[in-house]
Amino acid sequence: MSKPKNKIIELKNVSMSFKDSDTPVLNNISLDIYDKEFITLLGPSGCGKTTTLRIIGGFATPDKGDLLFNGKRINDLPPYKRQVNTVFQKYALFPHLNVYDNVAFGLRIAKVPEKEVKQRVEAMLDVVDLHGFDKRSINALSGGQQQRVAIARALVNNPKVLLLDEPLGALDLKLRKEMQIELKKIQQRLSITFIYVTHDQEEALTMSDTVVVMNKGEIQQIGTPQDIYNEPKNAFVANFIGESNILPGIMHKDYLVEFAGNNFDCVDKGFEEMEPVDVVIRPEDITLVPASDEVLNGVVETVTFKGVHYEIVVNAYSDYWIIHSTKSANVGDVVGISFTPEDIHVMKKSEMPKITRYTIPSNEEEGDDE
Amino acid sequence: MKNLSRKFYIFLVFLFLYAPIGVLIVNSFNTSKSRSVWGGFTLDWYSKLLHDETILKSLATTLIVALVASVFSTILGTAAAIGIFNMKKKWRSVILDVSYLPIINPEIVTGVSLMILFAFLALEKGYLTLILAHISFCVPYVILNVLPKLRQMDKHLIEAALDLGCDRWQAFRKVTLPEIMPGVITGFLMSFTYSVDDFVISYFTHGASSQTLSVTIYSMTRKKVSPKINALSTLIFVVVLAVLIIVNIADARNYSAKKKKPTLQRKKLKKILIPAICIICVLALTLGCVALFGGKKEESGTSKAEFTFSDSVDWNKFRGKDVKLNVYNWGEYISIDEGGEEDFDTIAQFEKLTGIDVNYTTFASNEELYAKLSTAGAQADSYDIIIPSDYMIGRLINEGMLCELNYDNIPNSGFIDQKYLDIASKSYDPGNKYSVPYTWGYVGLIYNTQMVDPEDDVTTWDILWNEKYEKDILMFNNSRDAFAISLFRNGCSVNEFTEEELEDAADELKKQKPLVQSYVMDEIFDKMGGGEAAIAPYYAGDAVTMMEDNEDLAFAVPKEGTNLFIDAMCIPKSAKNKEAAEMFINFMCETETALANIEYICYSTPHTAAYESLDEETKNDPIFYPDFDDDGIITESFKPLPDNMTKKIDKLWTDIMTNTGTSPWLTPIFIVAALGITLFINIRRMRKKKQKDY
Repeated sequence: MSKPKNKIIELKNVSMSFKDSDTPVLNNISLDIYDKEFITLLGPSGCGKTTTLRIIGGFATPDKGDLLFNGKRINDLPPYKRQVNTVFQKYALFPHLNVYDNVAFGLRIAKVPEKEVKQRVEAMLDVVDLHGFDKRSINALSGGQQQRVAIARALVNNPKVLLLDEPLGALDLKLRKEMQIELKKIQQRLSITFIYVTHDQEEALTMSDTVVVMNKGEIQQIGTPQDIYNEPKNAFVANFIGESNILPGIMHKDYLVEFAGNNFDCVDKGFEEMEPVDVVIRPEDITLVPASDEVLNGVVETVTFKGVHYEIVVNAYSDYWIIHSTKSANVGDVVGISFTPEDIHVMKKSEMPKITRYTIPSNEEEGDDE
Repeated sequence: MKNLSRKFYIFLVFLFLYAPIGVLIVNSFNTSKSRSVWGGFTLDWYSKLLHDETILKSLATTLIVALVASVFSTILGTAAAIGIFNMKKKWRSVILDVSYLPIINPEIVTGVSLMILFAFLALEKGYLTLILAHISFCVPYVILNVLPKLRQMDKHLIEAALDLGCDRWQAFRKVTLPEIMPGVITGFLMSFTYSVDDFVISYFTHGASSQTLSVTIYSMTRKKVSPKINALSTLIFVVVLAVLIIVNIADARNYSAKKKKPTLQRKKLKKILIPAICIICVLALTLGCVALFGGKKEESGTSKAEFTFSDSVDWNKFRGKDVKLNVYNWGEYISIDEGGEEDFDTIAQFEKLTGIDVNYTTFASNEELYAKLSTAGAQADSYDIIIPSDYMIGRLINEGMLCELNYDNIPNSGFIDQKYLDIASKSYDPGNKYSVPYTWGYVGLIYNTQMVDPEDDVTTWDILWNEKYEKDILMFNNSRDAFAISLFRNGCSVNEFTEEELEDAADELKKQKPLVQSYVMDEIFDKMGGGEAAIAPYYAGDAVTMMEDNEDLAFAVPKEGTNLFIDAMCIPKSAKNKEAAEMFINFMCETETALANIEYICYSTPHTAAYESLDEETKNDPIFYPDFDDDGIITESFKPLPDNMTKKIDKLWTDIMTNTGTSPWLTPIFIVAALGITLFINIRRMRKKKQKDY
C-alpha cells in the first residue's frame, strides 16, 4: 500500500461544539487526507465522524481550526463552491425528478450543454450499473438502486473528493457486501479520493486504504486496516475493531508482560518498567489445548456455533476469554488456553472506562451521530 | 335487507346534500319568478343573466379579486411558512398561533376591523382594499397547507442541492419548491375558494367601484332574489362539477396506468392538481374578461332600439374629461338590458349620452347604506348618487351628510308630481332641498281569495289578528314596518307616538305572534305564490308581481291608514363630482328613463310624463295608482325617529321575536341534553381508556 504523497484535504486543530451543549463534538482534530485514497472515518454514534464529514462538505463550520483544500483555507466557502460531492446517508434523492434528471441535476446547475449532460449521465449510469433506468421514478427503485443513483449523482460532477455518509447503512447484509466491493472498484476506476463514514468496522477494513478510528470527538488511531486491526493503539480501538480479549497487565520489561497471573514473553517493547498496560489477544489467535501446567487453564462456560467457527467462552483466572475455534468443546470442560508471543499485543493504558468483554456492541449500534 | 337499508341511508344522505342544489337548478329553468310555482320551461334567465351587467361585473370582480388575492397569498403564505419552519422552536409556535388567528377570528370581527383600518389609513375602498382584505384571510390557509409539506420534506434534500452546486435560491427553486408544491397548490385552491365564497369580509371592505357577487346577491333581497341568480349558481355548480369530473377521470386513468403505488401520490398530485389549477385560472380569467368587456361590446354592436332624450342640459359637458360617478342603489332597482329589443339599459344609455363612466353598486337596506356612508369617513367611500328611502333621507339630512341640490342642473325635476314633493317636504325633506323622488309605493294586504272567508273584511289590519287564520298569516320581519301596522291599527301615528302607545303596539304584536306562520321578507313571494299562506302585509308593486304568478291572490288597502314610502335620489356630501351627479339625476328624470325604470321595478312613479306614457291598464290600476283621498285612507310616510324611540323599538322587537311563549323550557332542556351527551361520551371514553390500561 503506497500512499500518494500530495495532501488534498487537511484538518488542522479543528474543534466544534453544538450551540446548546458544552461537550465538544470535535475536540482538536488534525487529519491529513491524501489524493486518491479511500479513507474511512470509523467510530460509534456520536463520535464526531459525521460532523467531520459535514465540515468537509461545507454543511458545518468549525468553531476553531482550519480546513484546507489543496493547501487553501476553505472554512467559509459555501458548499456549492467546493470541489466535493456527497452521498447522503438516506441518499436524499429528489423525489420529484426521475433517475436521469437526478443524475443530471448538478451538471445542469453548472450549465453544462445538454448534449454533454446526456453523455456524462449515461456513462455514469453505466458505471453504477443502472443502464436503462433513466426514466424510472425514484420511488420505484429498490434501496440498492437508489444507492447507486445517489453515487452516480455525486460522481457525475467529477468531484475531487467524494464524501460518503454511511451510504450502505440502509441496505441488507448481502447487498451491503456487494456494494462494498463495487464502491471500491468505482473508486479505483475513477481514482479520486473517497472519504467514507461508517460505524461498521468490517466495512471500514474491507474497503479502506486508511482508517481513522474516532471516539468522543477525538481521533484514536489513524492507520491502514492491518495496522488498526493488528496493532490497536488502545483498548477502545482494539475493542471497536473486532472482538478482543483485553486484559489488564503489567509490563515488567521489554518483551516480558504479566497478566492473568502469569508472565509471558511478548514482542512489544518501549514501555517503562512495571508500567500498567492493556493486553489484547484476538479470539482467533487462541488455541484450545488439553489442560496442563504449561498453559492457562479454565472452564468452558458457553459454546455458540457461529457458522465458520465456534465461539467458546472460557472462564480462566476470573476473566472471561473469548475463543474462536473450529473445534467444539463441552460446557464445563476444563481446557487449556494457548497463544504465541506474537499474538500478544501490549497497549498503553487508555483512559477509556473499562469495557466489558464479550458483549461487543459495535456492530449492533445503529443511528446517526449528529 | 341490510344492504337495502344501507342504500336507502346513502340515498337520504345524498338527498340531504344535493336537494337544495337540485331545487335551484330546476328553478333556473322555471318561467315563473316564484320558486314554488312551475310556470314552464325556459332559458330566459340564462339569457337575462348574460345581459345583466351588474351581476356580470360583480362576477368579474369576484373572480379577479379571488385570482389576485390567491396568487399573492400563495406567495406570501409560502414564504411565511418557510420562514416559520426555519425559526427556533419557541418563536415558531408563537408566530404560528398568531398567523392562524384570522381563521379563528369571527369573520365579522375581521371584516369590521379591516374596514376601520382602511378608513384610518384613508384608503379609498375598492379593488385594493378588497384584495388586501382577502389576502389577509387567505394567507393562513396557505401556511396551513405548506407547513406540513415542509415538515415532511427530507431536510437533507436541500443539502444535497447545495452539494450539487445550487446556491440557496436555486436550491429553493429546484428542490424545496417542487417538494412542497402539492401544499402550495392546495393552499392556492383553498384561498381561491374561500375568496370566492366570502361574503362578510367583502361586505365591509368593498367600495363604490367594486362589489363582489355575494354582496350583489345579498342586495337583491329587498325586491326578491332574481332567478338569474339561480341560473348563475347553476352555471357555477356545473363548472365545479366539470372540474371535479375531469380531475377524477385523470385520477382514474393515472391509477390504471401506474400500478406502482409509492409513485402514485406525487405523480397524481402533479398530474392532476396543476392542470386543475390551470383550468381554474383560465376559466376565471376568461369569465372575468368576458363579463367585464363582453357585455359592453355587445350593446354597442347590436342595433337596439334608439332612445331620444331632451336637450334640457348640455349632456356633453363632461365628455372626455374622465369623470366617474359612483351610483349606489337598491338591488334590482334600475332598468337593465336583459336581451330584449326594447330593453333600456339605464347606465349604458347614460354613459353613451354623456361620456361619464358609472360604477354601479347595490345595497340591501337603508341601514346598510347608512353604515357604508357613515363609517367610511368623509373622503373614503365617495358615492356620488344614492337612493335611500324617506326616513333615511331625513336622518342623513339631520346628520348633515347630504348636499343641497342645485335644481338649475336638474331641469327635469319639474316632471315630478307636486303631490309627492309635498309629502316629502312634509315628512322628511322640508323644502325639497336634498332629494328628488324616484319611486313610491305603499303597504297593503295581499291575500288568497281561496283561503280567506269572503265574509271577512280584508280592508282592515284586524284581519291579521283573526284567529281563524292561525298559522296562515305572514308578517314583516322588519321592526319599523311591523310596528307601523300595529300603530295604524291602534289609531296612532307612525311617526309621533308616546312610549305607552308604542308599548301597546308591542303588546298587540305579541298577541298576534301565535297566529303568525312566519316573519318574512322576500320569502313572501314563494309563500303567497305557492298558496302556503292566506294573508300578509306587503308592498303594492311586489303584490302585483305575486298576483301574476297566482290568480287567486288579491290586494286590499286597510282603512285605518297605511305607510306610503318614497325612495329618492340624493347626493352625499362626500360626492366628488356634484354637477355630474346632478346630471345623472336629471337623466333619471328623463321621461324615457323614468318610464323604463318604473316598468322594470314595478312600483309606482312620481314622474308625471312617465305616468302619462304608461299603458292605460297600469295607469288605471287601483293598486299602482290608488286614489287615497277618494277612499278616505290616511297615508303616512316614515320620518326619522329620535334615537331613544329607535332604541325602544329595537328592544321591544327583540322581545317579541325572542319570546317564544310556547315553551320557555326549550332552551334549558337543550342545554341539559347537550351537557348530558358530552358527559356520557367523555365517561365512555375514559372507561375505554381505563380498560385498555389494564
